[in-house]
Amino acid sequence: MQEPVGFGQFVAARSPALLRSAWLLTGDEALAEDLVQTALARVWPRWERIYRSDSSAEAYVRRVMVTTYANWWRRQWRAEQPVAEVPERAARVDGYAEVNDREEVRQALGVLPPRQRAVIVLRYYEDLTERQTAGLLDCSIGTVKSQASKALRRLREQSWATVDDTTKAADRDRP
Amino acid sequence: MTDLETMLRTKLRTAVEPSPEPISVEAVTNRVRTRRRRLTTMAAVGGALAAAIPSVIIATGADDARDIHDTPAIRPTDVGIPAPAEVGSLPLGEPPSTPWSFGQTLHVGAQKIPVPGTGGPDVIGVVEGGWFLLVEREQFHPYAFRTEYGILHADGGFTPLPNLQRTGRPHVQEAAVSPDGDQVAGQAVVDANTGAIVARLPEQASYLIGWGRSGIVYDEAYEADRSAKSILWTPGSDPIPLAREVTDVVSGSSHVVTGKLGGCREVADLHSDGSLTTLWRGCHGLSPVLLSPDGTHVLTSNLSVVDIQTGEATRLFGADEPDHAAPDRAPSWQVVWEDSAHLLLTVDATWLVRCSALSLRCERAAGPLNITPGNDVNLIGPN
Repeated sequence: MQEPVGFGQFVAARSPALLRSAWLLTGDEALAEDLVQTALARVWPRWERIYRSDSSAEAYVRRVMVTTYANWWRRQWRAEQPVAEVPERAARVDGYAEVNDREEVRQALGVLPPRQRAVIVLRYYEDLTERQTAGLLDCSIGTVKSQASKALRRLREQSWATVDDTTKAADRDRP
Repeated sequence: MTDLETMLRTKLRTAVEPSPEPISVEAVTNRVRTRRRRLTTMAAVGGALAAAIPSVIIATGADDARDIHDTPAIRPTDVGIPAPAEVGSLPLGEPPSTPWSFGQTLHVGAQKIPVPGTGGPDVIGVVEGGWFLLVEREQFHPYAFRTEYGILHADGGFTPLPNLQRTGRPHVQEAAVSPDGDQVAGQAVVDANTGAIVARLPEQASYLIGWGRSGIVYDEAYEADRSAKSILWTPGSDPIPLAREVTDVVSGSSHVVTGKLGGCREVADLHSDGSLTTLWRGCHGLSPVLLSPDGTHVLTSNLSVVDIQTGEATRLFGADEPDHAAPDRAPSWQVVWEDSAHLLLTVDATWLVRCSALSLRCERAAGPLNITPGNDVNLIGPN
């Protein structure tokens, strides 16, 4: 099976950036790698048609990645994962567990439904405009705005709950 | 940008450092091979089935659906929303007939009712005795608020609904009003007048999509090891898993929007037994976003108004779509169905504009307003 021209170079150059976004979406390093591999595998047959530059191909792969992610929880996606892939996952070691920000972000994003999480990642990490986000998700700008608004409200509430818990703990510990 | 948004951007970038190692092309190649073997097997099975039982029809509920997959001829039009500089020249019409909020004020016809709290309310719907809101209270931290559900009355009084407070984890996100306006649902179903709990949502309920004539639709908790579903439920009955993901419930009707993000989506009739009858399907820019209250028209993701009966699509914005992304993360651009014949939308962070879904003739309904992130508009459709 012949690898499409330019595909290997693209994966080497751009997969780290794709993995970062995928981690923000999934909150798990192994799932992030699954997501990126799945998106790249889906793009493979169309590579020669979609590749014009690294940036345009990356935008296409991101679209596939985001929509794949948002629809993952709608079906038993694990049935699609071949057992043969497991060793590759196991070889990676999560060296980031001790980073507080990483865990905080993972927990914060973890309470959001997939669609809201996708909007937050696209708007505040990828820095896409509302219009670009709407185009990628094939929804209206108003939908992007309302999903972001709901997600931010949820994150604010969670911050309140965290602050509240911290305050209560401090009160308990106070002599 | 708010403090929370600034903090969020910083933390998202910090959280993904240092950069991960590249994925191996071999891993992708293996996945492509496996995918091809699986697709080949599925095709063979499908072919065998088709050969053995040629008359089998896999029911999708789409027999009567009008399918639009390719972009139809969207006719040029001199109606619709004009360029921003010309919106102020549109004729002035009546004020919006549905409630709308601007900053901390709820507009109901000519009446202006102050809303408690800060940050702009989330007006969920109309109930007997007032409007069901979510307000933000007590900014305890630069980006931490406590929120409160309650009923805003015409005299400006606010009655909290403590039985809907989202406390602890997990809890149900979002809320909805019953079609008759007598009850509201969130963490529980409560009487809108007394605040008393009528029923508790099933334990797996995580995200409330809406409340239509067929019942409450919610999503189950999102877990990586389960296939979550959209569920139809009414108090006192068992939850009914739905065959497709519901993304929107048209309040007060039996219509819903179903489908996958980024893919084709359908307008469907949701029946009380959980079955779905597809009325219309759109893809790639023509995905349905907002269905009119009477179910005859759809506003799509590329801002076209589609007549479901004829399939004719017309762009809402007569010329190129205005760039609502500038300034970024600024006031919301919104659109709702004011009634079955009219759309109400914010334009250029300055005007509320009403457009006829039949003629696409537009007029100003309110403004000029100075819509800013801290003083935003929230349009509310009919219940």
